[in-house]
Amino acid sequence: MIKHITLLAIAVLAALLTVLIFTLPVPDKADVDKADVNGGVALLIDNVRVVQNGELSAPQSILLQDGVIADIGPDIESDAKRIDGSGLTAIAGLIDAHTHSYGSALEDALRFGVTTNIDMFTDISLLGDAKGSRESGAQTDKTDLFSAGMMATAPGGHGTQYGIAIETLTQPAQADAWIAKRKAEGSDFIKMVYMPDQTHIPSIDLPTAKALITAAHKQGLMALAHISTQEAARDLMLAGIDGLVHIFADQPVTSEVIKLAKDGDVFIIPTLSVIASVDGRQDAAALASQQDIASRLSPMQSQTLTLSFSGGAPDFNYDIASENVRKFHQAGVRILAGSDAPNPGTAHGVSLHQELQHLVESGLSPREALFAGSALTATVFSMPRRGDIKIGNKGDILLVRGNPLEDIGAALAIEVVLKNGHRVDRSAAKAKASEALSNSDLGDFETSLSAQMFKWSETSDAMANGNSAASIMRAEGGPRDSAHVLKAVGRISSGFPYPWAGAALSASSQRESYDISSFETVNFDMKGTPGTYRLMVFAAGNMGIPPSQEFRITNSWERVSLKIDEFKGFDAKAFAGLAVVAGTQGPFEFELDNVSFEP
Amino acid sequence: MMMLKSLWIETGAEILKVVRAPEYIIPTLLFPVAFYFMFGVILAGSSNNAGYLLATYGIFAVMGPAIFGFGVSTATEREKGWLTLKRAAPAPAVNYIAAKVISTIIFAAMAIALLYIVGGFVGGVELPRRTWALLLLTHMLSVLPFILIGLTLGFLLNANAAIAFANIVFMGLAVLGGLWIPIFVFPELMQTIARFLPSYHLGEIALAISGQPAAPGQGAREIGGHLAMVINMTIGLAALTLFAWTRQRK
Repeated sequence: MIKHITLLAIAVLAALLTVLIFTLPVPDKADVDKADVNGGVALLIDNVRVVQNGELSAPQSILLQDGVIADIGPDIESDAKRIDGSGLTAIAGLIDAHTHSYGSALEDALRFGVTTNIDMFTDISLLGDAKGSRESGAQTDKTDLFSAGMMATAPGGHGTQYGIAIETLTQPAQADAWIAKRKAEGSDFIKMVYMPDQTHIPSIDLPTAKALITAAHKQGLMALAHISTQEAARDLMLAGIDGLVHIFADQPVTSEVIKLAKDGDVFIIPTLSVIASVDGRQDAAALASQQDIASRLSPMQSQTLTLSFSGGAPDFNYDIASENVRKFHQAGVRILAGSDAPNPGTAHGVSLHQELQHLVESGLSPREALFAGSALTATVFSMPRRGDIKIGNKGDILLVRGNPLEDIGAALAIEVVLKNGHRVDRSAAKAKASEALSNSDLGDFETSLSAQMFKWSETSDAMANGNSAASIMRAEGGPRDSAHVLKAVGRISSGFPYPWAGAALSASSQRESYDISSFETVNFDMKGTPGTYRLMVFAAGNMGIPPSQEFRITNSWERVSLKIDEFKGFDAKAFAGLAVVAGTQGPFEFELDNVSFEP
Repeated sequence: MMMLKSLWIETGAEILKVVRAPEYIIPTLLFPVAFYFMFGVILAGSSNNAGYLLATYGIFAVMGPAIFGFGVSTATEREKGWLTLKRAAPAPAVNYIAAKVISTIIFAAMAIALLYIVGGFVGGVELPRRTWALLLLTHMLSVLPFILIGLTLGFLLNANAAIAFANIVFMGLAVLGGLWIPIFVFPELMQTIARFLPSYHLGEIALAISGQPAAPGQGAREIGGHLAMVINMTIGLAALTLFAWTRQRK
């Protein structure tokens, strides 16, 4: 009896102590961050295995101070704030070698461990800021940005469809001056679009491309090119291009082109993620549904990941693309990781991880893929102090679970992102909770062209340098007992890839959005020039192509009803407006009435 | 096997004794946590040393049950003639001592748990889980040198003298060992004395584990040297205790 007392006492005590250990408070990560802001205090990552120069070290410590890696080693003396790195692996912040940064791109990328974006086309007004902040060691919630700035393309060519002013060019003689201007604007390198073999879209010709390459080299800039076929790639390799920003997927690569790439030391950013999306592979949607990822996506990321290219394209065969990457890689051609986010089916940050996985599928070892997403890119683009964990490098570090040198998926098992030596808040920017829209009436036009907090106005692609136009007015008439309607008159003209014109509804006060998730359909009465029309919906925080649905109308009044959940990628909790637009070329005229949401 | 069984019985009896007469042990359990609450939490002021004092008071907390609760009480047991009986009984002496050690660790763990509850939930001390667990282990094992000191005093002195001596030793170990105030504020001589006390070295180990910054002018806290000192002292004290057992006052 007495001897059992001992065992019982020990068992009870052990149980209670275990419970105690697991209930005692542990440091709150947010507190660590606050201390950082206040004192610029250094940060010490303890007991962490470190991937340095492609090798995994034994657990040691990393000291971060003043935005840079101040020390690495087993016995670092410091009274710095600590991050316990036990069980974690430290890798250098990732570099996405092909992005287009706008909207929330830079914050979005950083939350997923991409600490440097290389833009292949950016609104030039952003370049000045980007240069300043990437050299600063200050705490930031944004990824550093390098960029081609404005791209070189022909009038009406690829790149002109985004509504950003581009100085196009047509002849070799313009090349020198064009490059000089880009250099003055702050382009870090030159990107041109060369698609001479595409019939659907204009392109610069080979002499102009050659002149651009020569001029860029003369002025000390790298020349990169967007191509979509092997033929175009071959032309430019012969002309001395430095790198291709996509792999071609129209045909298997020939040994001649492999040799050209090798001899010319050409590097390739395959962007398999976007090719996979065009080819209709649904990997992005699968990724977006993973819980830990979904909860960290911004509205823009959710939308772009869910969108898809409609209809695919003939020259985008993922299997050919992947096989071409494999062959180039085997031959020793440098392959860099780039996502081409935020094209449909991709998203900033997240898609670089997709790309690393695609590269491993295409024959790179996880070690090589990680290198392609960090140190190799830093070297190729001459970006000092990035891409590796070294004393003196920028304090851009990810702490991940597992070993990415063996399983590239571990690079996405991110526990901590450090940017400039400061811990990054990885929770997604939550859209302001929108007020639920209670009144479902969006316009009966009996007294005016506005309805509660909304107003109607004309909209057309003219706002993005297109040639279409529209005007709207109140008019008499209407279905059933209605006395007034909204009447729109306009014309759809060519000159823009996705032309539109019509009537748009937007919140009367800017930046307002409403929660319409309790409604099931959007309904309206419409008649007018017979044909196909589109209803586009807008959500707060989204800057990409708006989700839309098509419908047809005739000369007599008909009620149209569209399901809200069929607007792919639309966040119904952040409804900011909608637009009814004509889609086919030529003049149009329509009348609209009794627009409402219905449960 | 027999030895182990007799050890369990011996330990069970010690625990039962405390449960039946808790008034001897309760003060030694509550004293450190009350002190800690006073100086580590309420009077902490702006210096916020709840974390520092938690590490050192953990050592202080196990000294009470070790020296008073079980160690010195042997003097009383002996005076009542109990030990004479024990020495004649067919059970090894080492079991009598081992049972004291085990039951002390059990009760010391309660004192530590109380301290952690106050430190963590009232004092706002936050440590990574692993550190909490490691600190708990350190504090529990810290019992060893102190119980040996208590037993030695109990064997060599009569009950009244043992309690008086134990008080001096207890206070000396706590104050000179830097468990209440860091020793770097002491004069040189007292700092030298501290290096000969197990309480100082155990305190340093606990401080290093809980990630407390080093004293001004010192290098980073390390554990190895202090641990070696503690182990040596414990072995020495164990020899002394066995010697005292054989030489105890009749």
